[in-house]
Amino acid sequence: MELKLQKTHVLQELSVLQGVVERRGTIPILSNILAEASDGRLRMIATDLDMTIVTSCPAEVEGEGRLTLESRVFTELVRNLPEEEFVVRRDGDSVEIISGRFHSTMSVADPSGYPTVPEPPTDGNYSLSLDLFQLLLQRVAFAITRDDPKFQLNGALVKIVPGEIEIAATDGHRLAMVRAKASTDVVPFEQQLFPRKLLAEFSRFDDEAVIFSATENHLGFQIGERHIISRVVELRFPQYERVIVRDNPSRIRIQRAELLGSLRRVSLMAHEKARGVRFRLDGSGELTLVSIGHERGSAEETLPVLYQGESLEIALNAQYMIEVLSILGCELVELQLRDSATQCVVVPVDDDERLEEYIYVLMPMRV
Amino acid sequence: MTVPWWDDDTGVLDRDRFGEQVEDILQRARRAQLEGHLPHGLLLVGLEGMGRELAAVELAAMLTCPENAGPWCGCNSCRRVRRGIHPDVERVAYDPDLKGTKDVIKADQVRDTIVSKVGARPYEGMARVWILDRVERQWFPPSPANVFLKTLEEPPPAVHFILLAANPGSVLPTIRSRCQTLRLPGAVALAAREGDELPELIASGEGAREFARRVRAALTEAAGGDPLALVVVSRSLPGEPWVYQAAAAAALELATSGTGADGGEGFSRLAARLVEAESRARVLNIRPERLILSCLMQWYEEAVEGAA
Repeated sequence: MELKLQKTHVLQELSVLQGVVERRGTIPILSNILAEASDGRLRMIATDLDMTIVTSCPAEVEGEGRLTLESRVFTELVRNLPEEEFVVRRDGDSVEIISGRFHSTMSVADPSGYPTVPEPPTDGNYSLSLDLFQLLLQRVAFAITRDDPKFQLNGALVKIVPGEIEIAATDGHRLAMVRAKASTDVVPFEQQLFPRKLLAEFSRFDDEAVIFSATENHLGFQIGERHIISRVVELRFPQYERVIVRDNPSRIRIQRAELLGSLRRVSLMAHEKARGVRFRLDGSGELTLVSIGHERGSAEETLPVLYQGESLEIALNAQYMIEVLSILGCELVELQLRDSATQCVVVPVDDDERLEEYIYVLMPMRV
Repeated sequence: MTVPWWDDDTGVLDRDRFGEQVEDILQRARRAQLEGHLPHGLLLVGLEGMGRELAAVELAAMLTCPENAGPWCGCNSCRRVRRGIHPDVERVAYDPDLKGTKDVIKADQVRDTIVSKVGARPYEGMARVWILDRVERQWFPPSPANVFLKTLEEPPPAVHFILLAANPGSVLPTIRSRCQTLRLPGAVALAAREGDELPELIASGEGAREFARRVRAALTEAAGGDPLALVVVSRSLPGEPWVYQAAAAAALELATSGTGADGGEGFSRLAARLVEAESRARVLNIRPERLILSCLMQWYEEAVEGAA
């Protein structure tokens, strides 16, 4: 087996694989990239078992075959090769890499020890604009649980029906849900949990579209010539629809940047862990933010708002509010409130027109 | 978080040595698998290093095999299960690298290696299998066991747990009741297959059987509070290679009859130590009376300590 390759092509694909090469796992061979040569292409595969990436680049192939290459060493070697063109030649238990006047011999592990990689499904035609998908993910990903042992929350729930896609994420204290018009093609699944790491992976690409597919054990995502394959996770996502309230009567509109700035200032004086801030509305048209807790000091700020209604007060986690205000792009946001015990809802005003709905729900703090 | 698989050189996965003895269990499990009623929790009972590990690994191979070819399959997937590098088969055992002084499976370990991962579908195989090594309560006490209970009770589909123990009596009842117990042939039957002279001696009622009887008597006497009998019996060993097996058989007999304040637990540990001592003796060329005496005295000290 002999391959003639271009350094630039190979390096680009190797960088795509880096995120899933497993370095400390129980199966040592997973620190390798599995390389398969056939039909004028070199297919390269890496997996951490939860996620598998299959990619390829052009190659002049003489004698088909497969081999494993230690990822870190091979990547560094390719990066530092003296010439653009290089040759990889398999010779028994070792591989020769030749470029210009450089010559090396690298020992390789037996590819029969590599797990059987799930084949990327190729019959999928449910396609979504990658740009839109990235926007959807950006709107919910921050609400995913961090370091929670309840792993079923360590991801976002993706629901699709012909014509529409809905994604939700929660950590049990707040919830973000986004909905958009989507492909009317047959859907590959109705709902699946997308692990946090998978979500992050999509932001690395700038192709046009992503094509979804699914088998019993794996979800497939084709992005250009590359495939991401993610293990299906048994679904035990909370019934989040129940916490979404759409009829809170007290509604105020406020400049997003103004509220964000004020919250950042006021919450500095709040109790370090809880980061609670009291939102106080009175009939005279003022929103007052007051820090909760005294060990650092106290802070208070009044913002003029358009509000006519009963006075009310609610304690909210400032960090959760800051996070949603930071990821939104719109000028105005609407806060929808009822009383101190009912969840607060945040919706953007004049949001990105590709979205049908975005809603963010915060549970009130008990003070 | 990595627990090494049983090393090749310990020979515990050697089919030539233990294949015959695990065959019955494998065939029974295979029938249940084909009929679709193999329980997802199996408790394999047998002495450590005497076939139960081989049975566990072969069961795991059989359950994950993409060709569904039954025991001893030679496909690439089954071969990787035997090498401990199959993505759908994982071994959980006491990990000396984890913090803590007691040599037990830790609650966090159970959370990280089982509970948080059990929801994912198999990577390539037909099922996912966890092998939990040493689930007697001294190695798998209530704190990790409680983390595991709900998962063991209601695992997602295509998940199997294989638990290994020498003494089912000391496995927590909450764990035991959620598993089906499969027993490997006892140490006497095993001893008959192991040594060359032994089958004959046992058949003729000479030597080994007589020695086993003397060990049993000495142990019973010592259990009454006098360790001298142990010294006497270990000073008058027959100079034969089967002494370890015969002594282990005696201890195991007492263990299975539930003798002792701990329900036979101490005797079952003693049996395991004697079997271990045999392999050590082969490598180190130590005189048997010293090794056997140290096993017996260790048992005695633990028994006295337990009573106090």
